[in-house]
Amino acid sequence: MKLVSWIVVAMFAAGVSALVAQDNTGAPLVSEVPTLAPPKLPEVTAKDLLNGLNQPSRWLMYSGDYTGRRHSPLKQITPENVGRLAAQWTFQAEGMIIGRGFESTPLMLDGVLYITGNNNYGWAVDARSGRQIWRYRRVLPPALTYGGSNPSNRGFAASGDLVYMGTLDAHLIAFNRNTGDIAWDVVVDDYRQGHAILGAPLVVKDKVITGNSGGDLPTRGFIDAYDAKTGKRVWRFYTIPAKGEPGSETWSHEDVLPRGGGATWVTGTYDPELNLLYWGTGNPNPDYYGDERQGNNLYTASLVAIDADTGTLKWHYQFTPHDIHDWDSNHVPVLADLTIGGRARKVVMVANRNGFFYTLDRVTGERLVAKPFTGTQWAREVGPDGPIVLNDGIIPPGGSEATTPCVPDLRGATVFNPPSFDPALQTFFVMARETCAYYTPRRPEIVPGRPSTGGGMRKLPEPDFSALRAIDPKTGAIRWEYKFPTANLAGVMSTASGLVFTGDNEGNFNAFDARNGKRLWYYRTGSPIWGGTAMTYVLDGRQYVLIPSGNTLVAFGLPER
Amino acid sequence: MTRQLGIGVVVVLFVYSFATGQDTKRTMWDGVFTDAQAVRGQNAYKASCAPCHKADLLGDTGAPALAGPEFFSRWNGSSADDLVKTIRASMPQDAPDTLGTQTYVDLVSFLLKSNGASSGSAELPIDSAGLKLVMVSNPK
Repeated sequence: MKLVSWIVVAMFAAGVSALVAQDNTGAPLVSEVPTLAPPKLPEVTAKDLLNGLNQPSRWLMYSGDYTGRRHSPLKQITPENVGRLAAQWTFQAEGMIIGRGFESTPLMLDGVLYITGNNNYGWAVDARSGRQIWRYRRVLPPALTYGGSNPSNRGFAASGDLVYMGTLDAHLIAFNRNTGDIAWDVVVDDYRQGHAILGAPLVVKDKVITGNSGGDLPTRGFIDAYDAKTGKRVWRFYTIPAKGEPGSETWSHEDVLPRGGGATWVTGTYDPELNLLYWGTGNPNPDYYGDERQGNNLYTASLVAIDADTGTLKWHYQFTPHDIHDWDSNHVPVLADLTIGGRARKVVMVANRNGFFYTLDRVTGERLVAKPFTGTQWAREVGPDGPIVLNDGIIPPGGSEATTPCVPDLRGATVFNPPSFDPALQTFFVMARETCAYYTPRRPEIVPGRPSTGGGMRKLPEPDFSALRAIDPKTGAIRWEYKFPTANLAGVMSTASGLVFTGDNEGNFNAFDARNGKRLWYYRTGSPIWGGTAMTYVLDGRQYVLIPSGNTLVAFGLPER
Repeated sequence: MTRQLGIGVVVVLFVYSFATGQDTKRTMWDGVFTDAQAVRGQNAYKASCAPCHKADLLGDTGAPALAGPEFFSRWNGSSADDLVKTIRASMPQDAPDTLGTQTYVDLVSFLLKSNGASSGSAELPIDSAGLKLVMVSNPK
């Protein structure tokens, strides 16, 4: 009797100590001794966010401002002097993924950079020295689903004295930006079902907006708004309608609706006058197997315009009805004012994974321009109700490769890597991919938390290259291009002096003349630049351009006189 | 006292026999695959996985690393059954679930070996119930 009780006590003690060791509240395990005294900095106001890059000493959100143009008004670095750009300091990160590394854009506020890395690391870094002020490391739970297969993060958002990050276990965290202490940590959804958050949130007025990742697993996508001070959820917009709701008639099997995909994993944009959020939606699930979801599958592979106060859908435009190629429409939607056909239009521009470039009226969703910006053989023009598919990219039963052309691979023409727009030149810049593949659908087993892509994709070895393309958004015509040897996922930034900055798979960080695509400068960073995108700011009178690449963040500037 | 000790020894031996049996939970560090099985897995890896995940299992932009810290952060706490089922659901990318159960299990044994586990006297089983009893856990 006594021996059995000791065994029970020992087992109980072991269980308790195991629980303690696996504490995953998210609090930093290590008490950080800051390398510099944390400054008390002014709070970020809603007015600051609206002002965006008009205050060029700041970069307040993922895309720089609400327009998504990723276009800085700074002119200190020019096509004439960019050849003298030199590295000023390098920040080295820990916890990064081999071969991919940084995919995020730092924020810049008042001399401090806020950076997120892989595995939900986060840092505040002094922008004058490149030295860490504080660091966050999340204790993530085991058996992550999508977040385990893709442990990336694309950046912070900022409001008040808080910065916000979404996590791989589908939480949203607010940090005190001066100290790195957690102000609040809320559950967004259940990571065991396949959810994660990789995208940078977006602060609009008093709310933090976030999307979800996990559309390659049987999940239902959404866009959420949380109170920026308290973390309480204010509204949720589901991208897949419930049974009986408008749009549900575009799904043949209603049992697919609760897991229809439509993830929302790239940061959207915002028009404060219309009070509309513009957000891309992802592929339907299963990705390649469409037999049990016949119909257009709204609102997947679409752009949705939703009311920022209520999360109500105002309009949608679907780029790829009944997608069977995993062509998520998760792109930064870029806002501009253009004159098209003699009429002044408020537009939203999207270079889509399906190989087409679109200009839409952002008030109504009316399609103004839809032209291929790649050599896609999936379709060559867009009819009134969607693309005209000239040849089905899936080998039909009884068909063969000899009779069916290949179509872009699952990453398609461009992915989450941001584009840029120069309003003075009225030119849209995007890194395009040229690939070709064949797809084979296959009915998947549906298991919560397990990938359900539903088939295979065989990518051909050629073509496989990228091109930085400058597009006239009023016509879709390509003004110039610069080719890269392999298909890459580099994002683009432009500045008002007429420069375009982008990375490549070969590790170069490049600067181009925005007028003609001539490469004017490059620096070998030593890692493929995969999703990492440049940002720029002025500090102490000098303009800096930063690029995250692999494990490093490098700040470039002109040599001081 | 002696009688209680005797019973205690019997209890301990009883528990011990379960601990070394094939019908209790084990970790990847308990010799859960054979050398021959890992070689079969390596051959299958070279043919079906290495083009994207690379010969050194470290992957690159197109495919994640399957060895090292990324393997453990993804799979610590999961069973070999989870590994087999997740891999076969979407891999190889051009023709998922076409390699056959034995090959997927052999591949998993090669992944365990590549992450530092030593071999043992029995193969990683191909039945789901048996695979559920083998857990991936962080190296000590």
